Amino acid sequence: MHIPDGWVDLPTSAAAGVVAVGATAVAGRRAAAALRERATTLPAVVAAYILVAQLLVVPVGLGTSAHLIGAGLAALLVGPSVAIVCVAVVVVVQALVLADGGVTALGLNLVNDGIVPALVTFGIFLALRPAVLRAGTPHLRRRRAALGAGGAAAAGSLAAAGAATLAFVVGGTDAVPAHVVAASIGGAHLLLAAVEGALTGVILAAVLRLRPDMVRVLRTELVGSQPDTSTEPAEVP
Amino acid sequence: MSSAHRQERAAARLHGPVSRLPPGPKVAGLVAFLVVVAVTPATAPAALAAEGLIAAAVATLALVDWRAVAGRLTLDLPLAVLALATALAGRPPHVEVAGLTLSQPGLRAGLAIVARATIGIVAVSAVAASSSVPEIVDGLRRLGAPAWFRQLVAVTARQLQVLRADLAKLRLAVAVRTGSGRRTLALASGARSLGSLFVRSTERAERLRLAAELRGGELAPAATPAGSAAAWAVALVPAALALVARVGLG
Repeated sequence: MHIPDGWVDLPTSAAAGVVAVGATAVAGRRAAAALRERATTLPAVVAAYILVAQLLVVPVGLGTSAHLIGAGLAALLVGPSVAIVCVAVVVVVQALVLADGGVTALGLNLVNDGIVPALVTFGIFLALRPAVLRAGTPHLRRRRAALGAGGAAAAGSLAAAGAATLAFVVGGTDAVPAHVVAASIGGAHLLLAAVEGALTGVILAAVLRLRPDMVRVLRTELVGSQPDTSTEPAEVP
Repeated sequence: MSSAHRQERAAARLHGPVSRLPPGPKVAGLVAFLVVVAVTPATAPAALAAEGLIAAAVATLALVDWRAVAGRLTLDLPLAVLALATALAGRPPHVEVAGLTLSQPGLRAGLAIVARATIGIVAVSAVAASSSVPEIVDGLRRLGAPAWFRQLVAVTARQLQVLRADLAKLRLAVAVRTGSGRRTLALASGARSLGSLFVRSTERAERLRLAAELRGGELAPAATPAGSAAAWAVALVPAALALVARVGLG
């Protein structure tokens, strides 16, 4: 879910905005360094990819549907700094062009849908990586990688729910006790986390089968990976 | 020419009074209006209603497609659930509504959340319907977004159309191969086609980068005319009206 306008008070939105702008600036610098150029194409294509992936909706009953948030998936595929830049573009396009998510809540949405899930998913998967890469056939490793990615993405989604709850408790209405907010947001996110995990696992497995070298978090470690051509071009004189 | 270009042309915009406004003032006016809405308290329902009317009036002037707006309003549904939760579990005093015991501050807060979100959707729809993506990108300059970020947004908006067309082709291919089957099957194959979509589009990103490098140029978005003082004054009218409603009715 994208946080709409007026969900929390202005100071909280502004504080989240400061955090978001700072993190995006840092991530932008790190991403440019990682891509060794003023790269616009890869982050732009990944941002467009996240937007398209969000069109695949999974009906969850009561007339509502869940979809991929994609920050965790992007972090695994292209690394957390490029992923955060991508999600920043995604929330801006959503807020200003697609009217999805609030304009005054841009910073909050970037923190919730981008920074928190990207870092949590990437961190957990890094911790799981030795287990994923244990001896076994490439097929078995791919299975384990998909499972690990799914679990990490689900955890990232739950962490995002935690951040949203925190924002609402700090800056939202005080008409409701905090534990009720936590229960309703957390309950909904249990379902969303399951969807996020399943989709991330399936998509990552498909990419690993086609081009294992494109998965940054596992690059060079998988048997049969080809020399990389996706993000690190040869130096141009 | 990819099929995405054709889609773009099909979605050619209608030209109303709002689309003649330069993008800088327009985006700034939108943000100013939404900031006023965000600071309107739940205890001032009349002010929120007035702000809703202002947003609806601007959207009508901007010739929005109300059916598309209605589709976007389904984004309100989860908020309505949250509003119900706040009304049921809020603090006293309690009121009786249709046989249910609801907390009055909780009910107010919940309704205010839904109202602000709805106003936001209508207001953004008004700007989106009356601006092209390059115009919105240029409007971001007024909000202090750095050049690299605006460029990224511009390329993303273009790639979004290309990828949408790509995904439609992939889905068609899957449907032809497997026969459009049950829903769960469609979901699984949809997720797998997203995997190959990532591979395809990343490879395209590499070609794009190479092409831009060979040309020696940047993928720079076109600049649009800066706003005159009159344009700024017009663009800030909704925000000013909302402020009047907030002070007068709040």
